[in-house]
Amino acid sequence: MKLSKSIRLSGLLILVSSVISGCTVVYKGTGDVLVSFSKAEMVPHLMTYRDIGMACATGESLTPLLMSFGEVGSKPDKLAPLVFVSAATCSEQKALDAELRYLRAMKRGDVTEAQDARSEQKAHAEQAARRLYEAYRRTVMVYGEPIDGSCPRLRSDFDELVWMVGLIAGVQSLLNDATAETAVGIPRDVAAKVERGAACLDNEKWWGVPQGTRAAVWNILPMLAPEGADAWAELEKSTRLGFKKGVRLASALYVISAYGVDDQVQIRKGIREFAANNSKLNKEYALLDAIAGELILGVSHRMWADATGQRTPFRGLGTFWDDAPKNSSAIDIDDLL
Amino acid sequence: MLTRKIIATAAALCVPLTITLQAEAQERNICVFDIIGTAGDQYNIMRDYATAASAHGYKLNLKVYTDESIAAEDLKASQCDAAVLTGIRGRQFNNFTGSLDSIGAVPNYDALRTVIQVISSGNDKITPHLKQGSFEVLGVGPMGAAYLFVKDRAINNVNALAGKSIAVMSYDEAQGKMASRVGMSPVMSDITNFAGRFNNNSVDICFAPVLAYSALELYKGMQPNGGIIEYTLGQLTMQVIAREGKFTQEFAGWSRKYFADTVFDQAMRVIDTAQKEVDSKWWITVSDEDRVRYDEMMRDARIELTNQGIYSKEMMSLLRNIRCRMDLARAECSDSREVANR
Repeated sequence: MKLSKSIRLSGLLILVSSVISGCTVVYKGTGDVLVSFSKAEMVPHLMTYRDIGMACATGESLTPLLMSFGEVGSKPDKLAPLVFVSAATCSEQKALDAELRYLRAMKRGDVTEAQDARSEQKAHAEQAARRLYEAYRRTVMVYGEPIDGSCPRLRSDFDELVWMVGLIAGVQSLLNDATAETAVGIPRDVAAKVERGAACLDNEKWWGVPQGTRAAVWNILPMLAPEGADAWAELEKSTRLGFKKGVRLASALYVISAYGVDDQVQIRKGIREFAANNSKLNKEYALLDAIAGELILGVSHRMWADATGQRTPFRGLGTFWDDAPKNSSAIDIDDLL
Repeated sequence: MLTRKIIATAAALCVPLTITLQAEAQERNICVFDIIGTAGDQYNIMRDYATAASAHGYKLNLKVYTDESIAAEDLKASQCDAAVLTGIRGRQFNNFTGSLDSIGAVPNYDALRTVIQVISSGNDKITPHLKQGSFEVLGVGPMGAAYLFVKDRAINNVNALAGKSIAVMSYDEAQGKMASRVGMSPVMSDITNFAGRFNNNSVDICFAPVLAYSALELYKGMQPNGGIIEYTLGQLTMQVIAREGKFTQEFAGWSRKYFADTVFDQAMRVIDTAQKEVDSKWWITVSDEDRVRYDEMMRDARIELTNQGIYSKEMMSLLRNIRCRMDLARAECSDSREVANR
């Protein structure tokens, strides 16, 4: 009797443990399939979208699922920077909306509303900073910290893409954290590391983004620029390359840099040129071009709201409130009558 | 019925009142020095300041400057009604608050908070010092303590400083003089090149705020055997300096209070974050004996620089009294060498 009881107990234990280990095997298998499917199919597919809302929703909803497979032995590490950046676009959009509410409130002299909007903006900026920093942190976890005179082994276009997106996320996370009064406490040396890391990518192949990123960092920390480097000239060159290749991410770096130093002439030039170069866009990386568009539209919205209380008019990117009205060649009305 | 009438009357009264308030808002241009630009900490603080100021009758247009000397020049040239500068740069406009950054005079953040509260108190003995020439100080906030970063941990006492080279800010007369005083060779530098000189071994020592540690990767220059001497050599401050007559006295009083009550804590959060980034292995502790020696040495230097007219006597006296209020055991508290004649 006793023997059969212990046999039954052992049987139960074996069953439970085999179910558990079986689950792990099944989970890992599922994870591996999902991760490799995401890398091979979902990411390239999503890259062809121009719909930022879809990227944001994908990032927010799929990140926990994909990352959780890391717990059962799958390796979603290279996917992580991309999905965290996608999720950060949601927070950045909310932060921008709050900032526009702040600017409108200031315009009409409503201090309480303005202060409330600033608090909201900071809260969203903090969340954006966390997501973007996670993207950067995971990038350097996989490929290693950018160090002087050495580059990580980037074996494929996918690796290079992840490296580039992760580095830009690093700089963006610092900027968002500054808005959020350093609530996240992102190490400030990230900027210098990104500057070094970007030099590991082929500038021509990646639409001027690597050199544009470096030059944008030189504008923030001029002490990092190599002797004789001209940050604006580099940004200008990178922007042109981006236009030529149909992915205008470097153009966004140009405009954000100009906005950072409040250079109205350069900002307007950058926005107008972005708007004017909207044909022959690269279809394979449409999402990155669309994100650049959102960043530029965000700067334009801030300028419009600050000056007029309202955002850029619909389909009005590249125009400004004080533009001279378009007149057809001087016509003497009397001649027409 | 009566209530409705009251509300209607009140509403009728309120509408023109709101319009009047808005109509009377005075526009002013503020030039804000922030090395990072509009994404930096100082600019972020000033955005909140401008928001709060709009409830006090001023619409402030912020213009960012990444080059501090240009912001100072634009203030002089009346391009800005007020400018946000570091205390060291602001010393040319007001040497009372410009002496807050004096060497070794503010040993910790409690002392800094106290002096900023005193400045904002509206006390008759203080407020007159805030106006000098055509300028008035509208607020002072912290930017973090500054320390000596050294390439070799053996440089841990004054004697070891002699013969060493140090990067000093060329626009701060006091730094060069102090360096020469202890036998160091000052290498005139600016904000864009001092970190590079330290990191690529052209100088043995640099004097920098804790905020620079990570952003400028000063830990590279300290590899493998350097460190940060744990002695507060100075406090960097941000100061709002306005042209006389551009703001009412009421507003000036409110503004200084805002800095003491709101900006102080906001800025301290950023400084705390930066302080936490410093790996504890870098700190070089200073023995109590050496600390006392440094205190005395700094005091002698301050007295000399005050006699030369670089620091303000009144501020030196105020800071001495604050230090002694916090720690009566300090050697300087038994005499009154830095106390101004009353």
